[in-house]
Amino acid sequence: MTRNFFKYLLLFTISILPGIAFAQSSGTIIHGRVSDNMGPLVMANVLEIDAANRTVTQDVTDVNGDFSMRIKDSKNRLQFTYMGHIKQIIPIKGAGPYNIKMEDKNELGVVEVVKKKTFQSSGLAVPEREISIAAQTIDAKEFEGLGITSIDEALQGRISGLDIISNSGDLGAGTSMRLRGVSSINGNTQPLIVVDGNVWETDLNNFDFNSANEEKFAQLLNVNPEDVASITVLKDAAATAPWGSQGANGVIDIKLKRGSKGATKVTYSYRMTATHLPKGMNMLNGDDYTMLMKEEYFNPKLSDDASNIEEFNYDPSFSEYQEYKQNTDWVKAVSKNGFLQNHYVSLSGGGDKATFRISGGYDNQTGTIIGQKLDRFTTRVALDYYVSDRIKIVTNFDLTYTDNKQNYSDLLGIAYQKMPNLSIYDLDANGVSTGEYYNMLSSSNGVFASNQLTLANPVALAYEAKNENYTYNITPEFQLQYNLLGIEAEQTKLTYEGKIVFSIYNAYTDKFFPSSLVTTGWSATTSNLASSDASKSLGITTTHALNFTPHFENKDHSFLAMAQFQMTSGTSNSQSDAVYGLPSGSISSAASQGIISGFSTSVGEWRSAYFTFSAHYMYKGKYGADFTIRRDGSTKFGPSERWGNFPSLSFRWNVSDEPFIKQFGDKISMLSLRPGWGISGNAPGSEALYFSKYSAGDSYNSSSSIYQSNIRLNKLKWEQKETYNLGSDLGFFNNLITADVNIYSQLTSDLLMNGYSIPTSSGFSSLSVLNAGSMKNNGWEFNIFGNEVIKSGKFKMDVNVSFANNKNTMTSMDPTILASLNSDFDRSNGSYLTRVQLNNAFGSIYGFRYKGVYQYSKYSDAEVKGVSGPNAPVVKSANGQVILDENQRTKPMYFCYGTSAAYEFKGGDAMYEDINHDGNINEQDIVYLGSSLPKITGGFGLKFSYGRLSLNNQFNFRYGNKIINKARMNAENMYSNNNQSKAVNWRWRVEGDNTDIPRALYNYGYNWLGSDRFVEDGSFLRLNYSQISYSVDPKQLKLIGLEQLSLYFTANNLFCLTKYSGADPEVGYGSYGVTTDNAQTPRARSFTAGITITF
Amino acid sequence: MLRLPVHVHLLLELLLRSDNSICTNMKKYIKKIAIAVCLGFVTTSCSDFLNITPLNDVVLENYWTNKNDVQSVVTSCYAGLENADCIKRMACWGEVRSDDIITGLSTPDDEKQILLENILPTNSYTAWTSFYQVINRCNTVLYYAPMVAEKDPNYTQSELLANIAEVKAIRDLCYFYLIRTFRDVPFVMTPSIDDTQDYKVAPSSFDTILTALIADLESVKDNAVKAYPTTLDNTSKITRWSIYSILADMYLWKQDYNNCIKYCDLVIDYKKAAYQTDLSANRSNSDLALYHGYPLIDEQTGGANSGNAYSEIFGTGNSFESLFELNFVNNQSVTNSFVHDYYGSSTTNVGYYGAPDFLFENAYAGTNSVFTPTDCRYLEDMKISSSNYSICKYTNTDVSFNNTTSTTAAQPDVQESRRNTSYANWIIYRFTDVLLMKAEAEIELSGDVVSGALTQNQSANYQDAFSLITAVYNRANNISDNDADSLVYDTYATSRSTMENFMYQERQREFLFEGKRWYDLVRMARRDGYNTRLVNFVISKYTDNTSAIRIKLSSPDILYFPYNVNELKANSKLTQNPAYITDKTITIGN
Repeated sequence: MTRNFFKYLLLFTISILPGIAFAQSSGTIIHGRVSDNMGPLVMANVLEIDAANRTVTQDVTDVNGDFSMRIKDSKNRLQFTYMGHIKQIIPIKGAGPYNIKMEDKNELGVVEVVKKKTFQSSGLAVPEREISIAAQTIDAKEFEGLGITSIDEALQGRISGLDIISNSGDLGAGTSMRLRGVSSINGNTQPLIVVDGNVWETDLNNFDFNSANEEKFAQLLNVNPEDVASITVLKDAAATAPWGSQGANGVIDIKLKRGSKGATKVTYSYRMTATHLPKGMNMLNGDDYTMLMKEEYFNPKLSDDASNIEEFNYDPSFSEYQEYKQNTDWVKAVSKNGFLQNHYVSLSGGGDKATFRISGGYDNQTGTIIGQKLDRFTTRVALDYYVSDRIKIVTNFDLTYTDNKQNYSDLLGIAYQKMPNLSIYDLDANGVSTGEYYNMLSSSNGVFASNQLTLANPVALAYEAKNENYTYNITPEFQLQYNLLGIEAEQTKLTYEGKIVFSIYNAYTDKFFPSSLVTTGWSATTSNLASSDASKSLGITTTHALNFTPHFENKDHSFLAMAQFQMTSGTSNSQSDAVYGLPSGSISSAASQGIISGFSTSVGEWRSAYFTFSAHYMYKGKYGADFTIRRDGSTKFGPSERWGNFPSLSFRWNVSDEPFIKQFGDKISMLSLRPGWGISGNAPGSEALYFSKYSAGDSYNSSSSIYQSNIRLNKLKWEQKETYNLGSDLGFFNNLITADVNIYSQLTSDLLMNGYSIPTSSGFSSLSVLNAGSMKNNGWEFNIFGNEVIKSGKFKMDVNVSFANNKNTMTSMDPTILASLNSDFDRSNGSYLTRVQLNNAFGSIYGFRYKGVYQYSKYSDAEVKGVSGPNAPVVKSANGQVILDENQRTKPMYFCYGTSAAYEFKGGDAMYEDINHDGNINEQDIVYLGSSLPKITGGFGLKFSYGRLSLNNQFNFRYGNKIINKARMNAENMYSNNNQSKAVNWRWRVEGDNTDIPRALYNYGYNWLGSDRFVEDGSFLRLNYSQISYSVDPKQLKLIGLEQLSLYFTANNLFCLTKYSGADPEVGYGSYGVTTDNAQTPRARSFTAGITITF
Repeated sequence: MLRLPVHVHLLLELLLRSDNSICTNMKKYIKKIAIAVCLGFVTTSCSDFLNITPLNDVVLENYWTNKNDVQSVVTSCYAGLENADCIKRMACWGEVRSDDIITGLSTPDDEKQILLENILPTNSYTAWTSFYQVINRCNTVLYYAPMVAEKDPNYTQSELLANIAEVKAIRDLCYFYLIRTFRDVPFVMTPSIDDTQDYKVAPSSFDTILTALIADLESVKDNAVKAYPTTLDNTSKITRWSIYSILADMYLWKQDYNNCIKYCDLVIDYKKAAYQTDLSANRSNSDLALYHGYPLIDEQTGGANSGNAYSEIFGTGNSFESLFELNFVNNQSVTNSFVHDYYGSSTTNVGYYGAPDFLFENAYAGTNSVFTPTDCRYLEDMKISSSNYSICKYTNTDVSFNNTTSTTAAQPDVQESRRNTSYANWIIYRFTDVLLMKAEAEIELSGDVVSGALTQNQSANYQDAFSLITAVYNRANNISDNDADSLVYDTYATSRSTMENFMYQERQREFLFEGKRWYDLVRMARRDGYNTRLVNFVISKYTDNTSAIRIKLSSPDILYFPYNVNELKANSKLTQNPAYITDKTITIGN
């Protein structure tokens, strides 16, 4: 009853509305009746629509199924819709009557919608079979439900040629990525991240691309993985050409999910992860440590006096006796199990006119090191509004907020160095903890002054010091699409797309270092030191694009073209201030009163403009060609070199469509060849290099001074990278197995070199950037996918394998630059030569060859136990004969004889190979020890499914790369007061000891020169993740009103097979491509349980 | 401020207009869009769009518009010279290898190696960057100042010429330091502005550069100001008199003694006139007195205590005797860290450098070979600090002692005030230097004494030289001009070498720790044509390894520093000083 009442009320209201609205409008009045098989349809919609399918007027049928309305234009059409029935559109022909018979949807046969899968990249939507570029796509479904927190984790080991290495296991530390090797020395080497066609515009001015801190890049990937629809990695120059100079290192193109028509769907997912820090080096306990230190101080001077340090003496009369007799495991004290919770909700849906998708996610994460906590909140709103078939408006609004509570300094690093006989807490005379953290006294023995004393108690650091980092990242986007020409499939199309994107990025860092942690006295400038940094940047990108798709009557031809103009501009500013000597440790804000120790502000501005033209042509779906040219202009270059042109050309031949292959039928379902060529570029990191700048100098006689502070760079130009790529797509057995192969050669010329030394007789020591030299990267990539390669009943197996090889060579370089790039041997422990040599790879490691330890100080042909032996530091000839002087005496081995660093080797000292047998270990004995660049990188995955249960395993590996294990070097050098690893318990102690670990020498000798002793093979095979997931049968779910319910359990980093002795063989690239492991926090092992519900 | 590019307006316009008219006026609209897009491309004129000036810095395009701009860069030339990197090198290059300096406490390795005569191309003292920085700043002024004169009517021609003379003097002084240290150096006279210039400049020879420097200064010397509006500037900036002093020194190295004397005389006359002015102004309480007719600051002013000359010249600075010194202003951020670190401060008695024993030992007893007991200078410039002799020149603000009665073989008690933060000036030229330069020129002008008898000319020159030297000596020994000389002319005027040695010893005593002694010895060795005398002087500070050092110091090339290793790498047109070429080349084996 009430239902009908409302129906009629509604009907009445609606029927009078048009009457009011159109009472005065002129036009034909039309009438008619709408019915179906069952009879007249009440409240069926009758719409007058124009050519662009926009509603002009509307009416609904009455209880008899009748309608009458005044139409505006007889050229328009009528549209009839009714729930559960098929829409009808008819032209207007006079006043009617229009008798419309609607058809029930369910009665209709299955309509096959044939839609070619297209590959959308930078404007041109090209069918998959016509792609002529090297690219690889991963669908979000493949990593849905994995316990990953960022995109890069999902990509690891999946894209051939993309080498992803996590920077460290610290929260938010990010990854370093290299696509097809390192192709620039000082330029950016990270691939470009593109989200929904937008480059994240931020101030990268003066950003040091070589520095280990790649957290900024982590920000680039700050997209919630749940929002991702697909990720495409564009590899060759033809693929990246639309991105011009920005895409020189490849492009990672991320497409995010959007709303779709249909009832509103709500998805909620929750996951919980526990992380565990893998065991690193075993360090000495307090007792072993003090024994080592005693020896270390005794050995160089052979004096008990030198080793008489009360901190090592266990003397009860020492006031700090209790605090220095402990066996503290500092590493254990700073590590813990981490925990991560993630909530994610999304709503999506929409109707004919608009679709929407709203999502929000919240992460709460604690690290594997105490005192680390990360909160992240992401929201995303995506709205599509179809004004008409011609006009579409798209808006996106993304916000990411991160609150990252970091450690004030590297706690794990401190823990590995801190003396283990020291107590964490202050102890009373009976050894009972007072609950206060213990810090070394400033009156400690002088030998600790610059090392142990400056290492604050790491546990106290975690809880009492502050280092909090907040970021806000907001990217609103507005887009208008307009079909200028045809809107039907069989018409020539011209589409205009206008877009504006804002990138707003604000970051704040607050730090505090309390005086309770200061060991160097009250007046120290680190005492109650508070600092705050704030930076904000705003980037605006506007894009205008025209897409042209002519319609050919002859179906053999297909053509697409796009012209795009893009402008970006941005401003940034930052300020930081620091005050120390705050009145109390309870006040930790830099805004409070203290002694100002630093204050700085800076502003930046950047702009660029890009023109792009792309065209795609395909003949008979067999022979295709693509052409792109892009012209880039940037404020980083002077007027004469401002514009760079980056063309590309690529072809595709679908060989499998040729008759001679077709005869194999489904056995060879795809075989194509894709040759391509292109040039891309790279710009330097700094702005305004082409200006001669004047800076304020010191005053003289109280007058201020100004001087020219740089040499302006008029000649500076774009770094150019020319790529040849030959690719092939393969599909066998009706695409049961698909594969793609790429072989490429890249030549980077006009390499950007920072800090190029020039003769200082110019008044300057360097040019900030110079184009110099060239570099080559050759390699191949291979991908295989097996879709359901094994299928038996409910059991299915999928396989994916990818691997890649890259060979890097320096091909030319100005000899002056080479000379100044290459450092001389500094004759000090621990340093490896950095060398850039022609025709050698970047990332080469040079050093001595380690041959073990001299067993005896004195030489004798036959061993006299405990006195002398053949393994002693004497000069030997190439064939191992001992060289004697005219008095038949042996000659002693020296290190750098005749220099200020000269040292005569003794028993127990490290033995280095005397390559030239001159009895002198010096720079002439330095040899090539290997390269940090891996020979092969890649990964493979196996997915087994049985019905609704599936098991997914993904492995990744690197092979053939060398790592300088500096962490181990520092833990085995026995040179300082730092704690050492258990390995040094096997050190040489007395004459005759046969061991590989040299004797302990405090600040003396050359026992840890850069040698192959610390260069290790970094090859590894890691089980990146292993996941079991189960989704409940939708039929059963319907009963409880759910659409989807899936559960999963994932183990990440379950095992890692490697010979590498450090905690984690995944170590990021350092300068000149040399990889050095400085004991960063290793990647944690984690276990995740999650649930996803959709209703 | 958020600035929306033209394109944004276009986009907004499109959004606002997306009504029915778009569809009905399709063709018109296409046209509109096309025009708007084209306008967007053209009117924004991309090159304008991409022209942005850095917000953090002043750039060339906006600089060099008025005379203040010139003045600021001129100031930066002085500021550059005053930089610790420069002062440290002036002191080290000019003196450390001589017999005046030995290691002090915690001497850094680079200095230690120089003191051991083990100078490697990696030693930081072989780097000349700080000097060329000043040279480039001077070149910049010389290049742009004439352009400013055209733009700014307030910048007069005479001001322009004075500025040119000023910066040329600074630049030429820098080159003078460089050639005395490295002999042949790249001679750059143009500013380094952009990367299109060739910065690899081959070195020019010592003589070429010296001749060019002299010609350069001769051409501008009379454009320089005689006196600045601020009295302080008269001693701490380039004046006509400082240019004359530099020229006198250059002519001495060029062995053009007549010209040397000419410029010394100009300075002497100027000081004599200044003395007369001073006398009429402060008739009764002037510190000045005439020694053989040359006006100098008295050691004693009322009472028996000495030390006044030191306190005025080195303690307070900018004294009457000063011709050019680098001035440090109290309580400003720029300090003379060189003096603080290398000579000592109120907290450290001994700096990185120390004084050799032979300079001080037993001077009070009269058995020291350098100083007489009555000489104030050994007490002013050095002191015993436990087992070391430390350098006190510049480190005290004033000293006071009574050495007139030191016949009791007891060392006089020195009352000193140590400097807290070092704002000690660094003196480059002062009046006694000019007196002794003139003496040197006169001795050299006389040539060798043949068969033990002086010619009339020689005699006149020697007499004059003797009175110049003793004027300096007498002041330091509190012997006023009224008293007879305690030194006897006849003991020295026997041969050229005795006169020379007498003169060089006086120079050593007078300019101890002022960065002059090694250059004096090099000048002497250049004239001698061999290093024997130089080695004999230098060797006195060494206690061991003397024979090795004798051998090492025998070659003429060794008198100069090697080129820095990085400079050699960056400039392929440089060839290393042969004395420092080692046959070791670094190769990497495979």
